[in-house]
Order: sequence, then structure tokens, then C-alpha cells
Amino acid sequence: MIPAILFILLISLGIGLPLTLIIAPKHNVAGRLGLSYLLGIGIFTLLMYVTNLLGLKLTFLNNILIFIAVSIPLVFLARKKLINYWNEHRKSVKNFRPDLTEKIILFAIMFLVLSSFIATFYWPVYIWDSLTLYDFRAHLFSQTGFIKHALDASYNGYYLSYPLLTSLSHTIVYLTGGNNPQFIYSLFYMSLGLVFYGQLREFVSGKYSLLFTLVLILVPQIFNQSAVSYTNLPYMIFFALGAIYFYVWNKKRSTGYLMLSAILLGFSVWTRSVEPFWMGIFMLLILTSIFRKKFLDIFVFSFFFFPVQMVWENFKSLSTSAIPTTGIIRGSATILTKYFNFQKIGEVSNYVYQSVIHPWGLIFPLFLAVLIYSLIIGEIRNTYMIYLIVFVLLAMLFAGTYVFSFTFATWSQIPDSASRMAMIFYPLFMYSVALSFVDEHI
Amino acid sequence: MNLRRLYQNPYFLPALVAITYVLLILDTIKYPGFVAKHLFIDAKLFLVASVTAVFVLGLPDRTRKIINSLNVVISSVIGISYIFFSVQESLHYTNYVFSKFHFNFWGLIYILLFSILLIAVGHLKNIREPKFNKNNFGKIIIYFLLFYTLVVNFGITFKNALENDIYVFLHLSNNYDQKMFHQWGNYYNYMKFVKDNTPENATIIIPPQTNPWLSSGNILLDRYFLFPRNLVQTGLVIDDPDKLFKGAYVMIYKGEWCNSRDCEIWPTQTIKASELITKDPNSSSVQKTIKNYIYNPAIKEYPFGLLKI
Repeated sequence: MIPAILFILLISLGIGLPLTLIIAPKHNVAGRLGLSYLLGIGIFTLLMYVTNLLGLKLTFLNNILIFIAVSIPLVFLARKKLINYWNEHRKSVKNFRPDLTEKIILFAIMFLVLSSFIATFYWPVYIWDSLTLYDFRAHLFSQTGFIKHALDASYNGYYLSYPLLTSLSHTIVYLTGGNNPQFIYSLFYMSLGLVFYGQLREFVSGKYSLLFTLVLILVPQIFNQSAVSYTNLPYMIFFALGAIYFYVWNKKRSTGYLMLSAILLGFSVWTRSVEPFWMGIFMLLILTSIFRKKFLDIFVFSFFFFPVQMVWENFKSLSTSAIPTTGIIRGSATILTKYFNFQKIGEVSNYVYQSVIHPWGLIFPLFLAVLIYSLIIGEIRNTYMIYLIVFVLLAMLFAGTYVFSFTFATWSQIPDSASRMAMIFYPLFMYSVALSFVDEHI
Repeated sequence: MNLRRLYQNPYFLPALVAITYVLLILDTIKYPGFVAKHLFIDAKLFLVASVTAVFVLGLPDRTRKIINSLNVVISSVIGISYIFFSVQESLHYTNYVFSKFHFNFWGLIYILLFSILLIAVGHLKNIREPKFNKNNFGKIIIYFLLFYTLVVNFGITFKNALENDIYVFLHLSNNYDQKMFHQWGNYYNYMKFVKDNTPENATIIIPPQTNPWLSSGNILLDRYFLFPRNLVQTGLVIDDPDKLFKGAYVMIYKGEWCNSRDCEIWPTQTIKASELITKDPNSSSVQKTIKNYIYNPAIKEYPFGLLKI
């Protein structure tokens, strides 16, 4: 197992870290570390996929070759920044003098992350969907060496129903001699904490950033998902952090943040392509760019996002007769305009309340309370974009469920799945709440 | 009642803290929800109200020192007790602590959390000014909801995390089969039995994916354990079982998803087999092998096995 863990860490530090330094030179030290893993694993799995389609067999040696081919130029390009980063890192560790409150919060955060690692190192892959799909594909890939061959020979379109980020992450572990890939989900969980903290530190004091990070990673659903091999946690992390980087870009206008947003949203689609939430962010980007007359931003976003999105869509359409996402959207638009039905709206509202809003627990009322407070005191002027993001996504969630209720007879029988899909809102709610503490210092 | 006079009273916060401790202890000794049932307010609400009040108003220096020292003692004692009882529960059976010591030890989480929160929040008095006025009323509601979210989620997540940590430390030597059996029960043992007793190129006929064979009849799930064997799914009744090709295997499986009715055994028809291999009820090993066997669904002697045609 140790070579597999080391290789995953090497991917993060050898590919992810220099890439974050090139794309976003200004970034919080802790946040950058978390981001390195997210970018590293996303890019490496994508490269495995593309080179495999071009004929490079999935083997440990070929993975090493891909790593060297990508890592050396990146490290060379970012060499000075890497040295500065380590100096900055050493300095910030040396200067870190937490008070009692911070020590307590840090202890709680470390306990949760450690518990997640204990669970993932101990338990093998056992959860239903992973056995039938994500981990099964990883075994097929590592045994056959070719993705297309494995998927073509694997009986039905079910194995093409989700993209390959998590399956290929498992494949990396198997090819490196590991037997349990679950720890990659704990690394996702740790990265969520680091990047969320890092992005809060852009606006909020250190103590509040720690507190809100703790409240986020304490969410039972997020913690539980960090211990099993579902795609929901990685998807939530890629998507929600992509949306948060979009917000930070909107505030700071640094193109690096927009690139990060596009890349992370791209990886969210590389993890789960069924949910069309990325369109909400893209729509907001178009509106913002038109309003500001800066059309280059749309090009920058598209350049980093669409190649990732299209790579999977094209593969799917070549391999099966599955309807591409664009086709589904056209169909959905028809349903929304043709079948407007008050009774159905009532049923869908009840379903969304029972299976999505209720499981959110107290975070949603907290978010609403902060929204009302921000409206009353006029603070919303500074943070309106984060609320806009949340409400656009909420509208999409509702409209999507409405369309789903017409297209699938069993639409109301999978509340657990809806609840997992709506996990993307936790970081966004928490980020919105934290932003109302910008001027507060404790 | 004059609210300002109440919260400015030097005994208000210490009294609120003391009352909260009493209510949390009551919930622990009796049962979760005891306070809510009798006082119509959940003990956790008192917890959050106390922490918010201490955070907003701050304790006077002398009181703070006493309360902090007390909380350090309380959190240490409760923390150790909590771990001790969790280990006891994990070593024996669910509800062992309740049946032996007659209290709900999970309630200790909230006492522990309360003492830790008071230490963390009380410490902040050094670096901020106490304030409670109409201008920051909205913020106080937000603090209240924030602490409530923290407390509720801490109770659930901390319990899950610690429960699993303790289980792991007490079962460190378990192998893959034991871990999978813990998660999947007899279904995993059966899959291992089939894998161990069929060649990789075998064709295996599996139950239909209807109640009560929702797991064993799930071809995708079975495939994970039995790959690269060829799995074939038929309906509840196999059409013309005499025409099944020689060497194929048919699963014998007593359904795992049973509600009111008895779990049925599949197949539900008579089948002539060259061999019957039965599974030991408590493991994945072979119980016995019978040559030239005629399977009859009415005879329920072997609920888990394999028929070799």
C-alpha cells in the first residue's frame, strides 16, 4: 500500500502543486496544498484516459512515464515559485501561534480527518455502487490495460453511466500494488478542509475561518461520504470549490481564479456528468462578462472547462447510443415549457423538502438567517454574487427534479440519491454564512 | 421581566451554565429527550443558549477562571469516561452500557462538548468586548444557529467517528473476508463459496432480481465477486431446466430481503444435477457434496449451495 500512497502524494506535489503556482500565484499556503491534490488527481486521471485512448496501456510503468513527462516541465516552469512556496510554508508554520480556542478547533478538525483515514485504511471497498460500478471498472482497467476494450466488452451501457475520475484513481492504486484505494476519499476530505479554509482566509479572520471549516467538515453526510467510495464527495468538492473560486474571481478579478474555477468545474463533470449544475455557473459568467463587457473571460473559462467536458461526452456517444447531456437539456427545456402542472409542482416541492432541504438540517436555516440579516443591514451589496450562485443552483435543482418527475416513473423513490446530489450546497451555504463575518474579529 | 437587568446580574451566566449541566446530566441518566418531554425544551437548546450567552456577554474575570478550571476537570473526566464506555459497548453488544450501568452514555458527548465549548468561548473574553444590544440582535441569532449547527452535527459525527475508531482498534487483525462479512453478512460468505467452488470460465445461473433476492439476484453486484465467470439471469422459473448445458452451475440461495413472509429458496423447481455442493451455514466453506442429486424445492435442508448440471 505504501508505494500507492506515495505515488498519489507524488502526483499532488509533482503535478498539482507546480500547476497551482503557475495558475494562481497568490494563494493561501494551506489552501494551495489542498488544491494540489485536487488538481493533481484530476489531471493525472484525465491524462491516463487520453493516452490510453491513444494506445498507451494502463500499467505502473506507463503511469511513471506520464508522471515524469508532465511533472518535469511543470516543476521546471515553477521552480522559483516552488522554492518561495516552501520558504513561505516553513515561515508560516514557524510563525503559527494558535491560541487556546484555535488549538481546540484544530484538534477537532484533526480528529475528524484522522478518523476518516482510519476508516478508509481499514475498510475495503464495500459500498454497493462502488462494487457494481466504480471499483469494478478499476479492476477491469487494471486487468485489461485498455479502457475502451474493457468498457466495450463489459455487457451493457451501465458501465458508461458515470465518468472515470474515481475509477481511474482506484486504478492508479491497483497498478501501484495497492489493494485498498479508499484512502483517496480521505485525501479529498482533507483537501476540502484545506481549500475551504484557504478561500475563507481571503476575506475572513483566521479564527473564524477555522471555525467555519470545522462546522463544514462536521456535517455528518460529508464525514460519512469521506469513508466510502462514492462519487458524491469528490463531485461536491470539485463543484462547490469551483463555484467558490468563481466568486473569488468575481471579487478579485484575477484571471487565475477563473482558470481554477473552470478546471475544478471541469473535473466535477469528469466525476459525475449527470448533474448539469455547471451550466448555472457558466450562465452567470456569461451575464457577468456581458455586463462588464469583458468577453475574454468566457473564452478563458471555455478553454479550460469544455475540453474536459467534451472528452467524456464524445467517448460516451462513440461507445453507446446514450443521449449526450446537450440532448437531455433540449428535452428538459421542452418538458418545462410544455408540461406546466401545479399539482406536479406541489409534489416536487414536497419531495425536495423531504429529501433535500430536511436532510440539510440547521445549515439551511442558518444560511437563510444570514441572508435576511445581510439584506437588512445592506451588507448584501458586497456578497450578492455568492447568493446569486446559490439561488441559481437551487432553481436548477428544483427544475431538474421537476423534469425528472416526468421522465422517470420512479423519480420519487430515490430520496437518498437526491440528498447526496444536494451535498454541493453545504460548502456554498457555509461560505455565504462565513462571508457575513468579514469585519468580525474574535 | 427586565431582560437587561437579568443578563447584567453577575449570577445569571453561572446559574445558566449550572442549570445546563444539570439538564444534560438528566438527559444522560434518564433517556435522550427526557428534558424535552418534561420541560418542552431540548437540553441541547439550553447548551447552545448558554454558549451563545457566554460568547456574547463574556464572564467576569473571576467567575471565568473558576468556570474554566472546573470545565478542564469536567472535560477530562467525561472524555475518559466516554472512551471507556465506548470501548465497553464495542467489546460486548449494542446497549451493553445501558443494560449494565443503566444510563445513556452517548449523552456524555454533549456534556463533553459543553465543557469544551465553554473553555474555547470563555477564553475569547480576553480579546473582545462583551456586547448585547438591539444593533447586534440579528448577529446573536446567527451565532445561536451557528452554535446549534455545530452542537447537533458534532453529536452525530463525533459518535460515528469514535465508534468506528474503537471498532477498528479492537479488530485490527481482521482480514479482508472478515471485514466484508461484517459489511455484507452471509451474502459475502456465499459469494466466496461460489468463487472457491467454480472455475473462472464457469457459467452460473443466478436468482431473479426480485424480492427476496435483491442482492443475490443483482447481476452487477454478483459480478464484482465472481468475475470473470459468466453469470446468466433467468426468471423466477428456469425454462426447461433439463436443457441446461452440462457443466453449468445453478445457485441455491435463500433470499435475503424478507419482510413478513418466509424467505424463499431459489430455484423454485425440480432440477437434475450431477452434483450438489452445500455451503456451511456459518462460513464460506463446503458443508458436503452429493453426486447425482435431484434438487427438490420442497426439501429445504440446504438453503445455500450450488447445483452442477
